[in-house]
Amino acid sequence: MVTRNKILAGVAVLLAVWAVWTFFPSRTRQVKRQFSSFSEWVSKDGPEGNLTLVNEATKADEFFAPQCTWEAHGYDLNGTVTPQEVSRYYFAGRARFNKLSLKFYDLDIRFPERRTARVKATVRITGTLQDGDSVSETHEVRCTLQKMHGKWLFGQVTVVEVLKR
Amino acid sequence: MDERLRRFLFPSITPAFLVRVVLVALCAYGFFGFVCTPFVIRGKSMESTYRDGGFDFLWKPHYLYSKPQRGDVVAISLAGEDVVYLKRIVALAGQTVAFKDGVLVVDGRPVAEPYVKGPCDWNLPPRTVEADHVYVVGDNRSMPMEQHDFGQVSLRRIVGVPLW
Repeated sequence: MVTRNKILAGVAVLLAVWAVWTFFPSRTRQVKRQFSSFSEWVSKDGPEGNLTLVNEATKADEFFAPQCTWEAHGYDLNGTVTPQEVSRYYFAGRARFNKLSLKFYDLDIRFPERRTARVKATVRITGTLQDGDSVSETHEVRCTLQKMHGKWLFGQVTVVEVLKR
Repeated sequence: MDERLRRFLFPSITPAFLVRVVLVALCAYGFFGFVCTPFVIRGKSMESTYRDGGFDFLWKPHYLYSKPQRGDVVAISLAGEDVVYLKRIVALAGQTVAFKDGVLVVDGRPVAEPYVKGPCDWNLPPRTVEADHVYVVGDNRSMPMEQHDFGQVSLRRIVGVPLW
């Protein structure tokens, strides 16, 4: 009986640890999850219907703050944009790709304030355009995320060249 | 068959033998996964020093007790371990680097580069390498400058050197 109680107690402790880990993630894990979700949101495995595309495009406000500042000189993406504008970029940009993969590496996450995260990461974009051409690019990105309505939203994104001539 | 050879080729599966196998596997995983990682070279930017399709090992502890020097061939992590460039350091932080009619010019002086084979006609105006950065270029200067990935890179992206 004592052994059975010990096993049950052990299982209960493991369940409690799992529940805390899953339902009360640390701020770092929350930010990592947001980057992971963003990767999934952008990536696509093959052709997709317009309805799916429109549906996905409307999710921009789950990732971007009402005012997000972009600095990406190589892409003519500079200035402040709203989630609605991001949706339009998403719709237009994604339609050009047959396959698209966006992955983040080497995430360095800092919290200068309680509801602000500064993240330095490397982003790799690979894919195939509709005309068959391949795309493979790697950039360093510096992002500022703000916690709003329980979500970490991108408030600033700066694209830095890894190899700057 | 000789008894010793038979025991070597077909060992008895004893607990001690299993422990030895696990220890060897763990050491191999740690050494080849984190200290001396095998890799295959893809691309021609370091030819003729490193051939496309060549095999090498990435020796990661190289800069534990020393700093990168001019002329070193280094591995630069672009995206984790998925994308790693092999390049040669041609200038250090604070130095001015330029190309004039294919000749590398550092701090205003032309630099002899015996490892560069083939013709080169690159021209690049002078620029100063920022602090905590190095300027890296591939050895294959025969390819057009526009198609060659080079430039200054942060020291923290240097992950090691090729073993040979």
